Amino acid sequence: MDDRAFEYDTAKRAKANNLAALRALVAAYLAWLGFSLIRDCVRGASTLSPAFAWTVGLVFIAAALAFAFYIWRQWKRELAAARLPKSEANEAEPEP
Amino acid sequence: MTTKTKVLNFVQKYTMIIALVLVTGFFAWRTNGKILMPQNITNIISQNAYVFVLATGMLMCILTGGNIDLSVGSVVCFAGTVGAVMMQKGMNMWLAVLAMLVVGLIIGAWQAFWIAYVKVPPFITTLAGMLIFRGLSNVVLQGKTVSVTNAKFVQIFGGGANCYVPDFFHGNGINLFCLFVGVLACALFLFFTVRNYSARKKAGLEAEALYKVAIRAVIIVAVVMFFTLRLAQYKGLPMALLWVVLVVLIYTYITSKTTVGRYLYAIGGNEVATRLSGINTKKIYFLAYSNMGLLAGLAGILTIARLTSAQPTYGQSYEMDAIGSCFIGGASAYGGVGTVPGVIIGALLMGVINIGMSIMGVDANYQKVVKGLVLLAAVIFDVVSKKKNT
Repeated sequence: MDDRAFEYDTAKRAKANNLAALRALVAAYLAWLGFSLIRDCVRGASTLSPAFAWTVGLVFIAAALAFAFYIWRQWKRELAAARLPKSEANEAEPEP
Repeated sequence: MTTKTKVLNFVQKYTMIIALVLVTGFFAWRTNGKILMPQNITNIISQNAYVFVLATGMLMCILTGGNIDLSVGSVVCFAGTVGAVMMQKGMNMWLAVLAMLVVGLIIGAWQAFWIAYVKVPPFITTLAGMLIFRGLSNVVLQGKTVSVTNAKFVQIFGGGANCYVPDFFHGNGINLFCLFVGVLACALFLFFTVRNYSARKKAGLEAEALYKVAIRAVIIVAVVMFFTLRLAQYKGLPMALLWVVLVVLIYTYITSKTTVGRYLYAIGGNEVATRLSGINTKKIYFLAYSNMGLLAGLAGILTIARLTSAQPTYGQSYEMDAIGSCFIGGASAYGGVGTVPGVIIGALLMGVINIGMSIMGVDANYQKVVKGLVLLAAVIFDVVSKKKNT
């Protein structure tokens, strides 16, 4: 909900923000799943073998971090693509 | 267009449906067909009704611009707690149901006020809500379990052994009313398919090839009749299914045929332009989050009916199930994140995986591993699709 709309194509920027937000949540959930597998193993509350729990947990956390990096990079790219050229940005400025 | 391109386009368009079919086939093989037995089909619907309801409401929030509601699990628990305590004290069942819906709506409206009018980010507002209402549930229940013993409530809202629509046609060994409803649903679907196709052709609009429409219709009818037959061979239509179908129909109509639905999509596409065109965007945000609260109240009703009790731990991770369904259901490049049917398919996929693993006797920790792998697959698909489209 940002009013610096005259610098960007607002539709493209909104789409970039929407997708980034949803993907970030999924990355967080994946990281939480990995964390909870490791946490249960450390507490002795898991029926998985420690090696398996740690391996899978770390894989999930690593995948979440990698996806988070991808999300950030993709969001930057999409924002750059949404930026209006200078002439269009000037035209888009509201009249006083 | 080459055959390979056509096949790839088809796969991309129907990815989640193909995934649902493959996963169902896998579990049918691993459980020796048990997952397709009538009782398990019923369980898939009954045990995941809350996901369908919450995911539908979550979609409304996501449509406004990628916003989510993290408090739904806690609201489910708190609304369910209020209803259970009211019924325990002997209050009228319908009063308790109304109270649960009103509690959900008030919580949704309260959060919606902060989001829409005070501009507090939805993530922060609903995170606070998640903590507040989980805490309040603990305060009310004092860490104890409250049983729900009202048999009529349990039957109507999908819990217990008799939570099915009665067979008004008194079939012998098979629920004829359930079959009748299935046939009626298929007939209505075919009627609207033909009508929409004819209307598009008449208006000179681009329409799919007739054979494609026909094949899709036949497959959908076959699937619906298969499930209807399975349900009829057990005890008929579960009450939980009626509530889910009601919610899906209402919200599919709202999102596709009403101005409010169009405004939701418009805000998600370009909020500034929507506001400048005269639409009260604050009101739409308010409606989206209030509605989420209302649906969380309904999910609370379904949860305590199924589990016949209220506990402070109910509703945990419900918000992630709903968000996961939205993401998985919209992970194909075709669907994006914007349709109720896509969300339902995502929720069904999660439901089939949950039930399949339970039937196989898979440990709860392994179930977490599988859930994570499914999410990871959806993430990889999302990344790969994006690469191919750029």
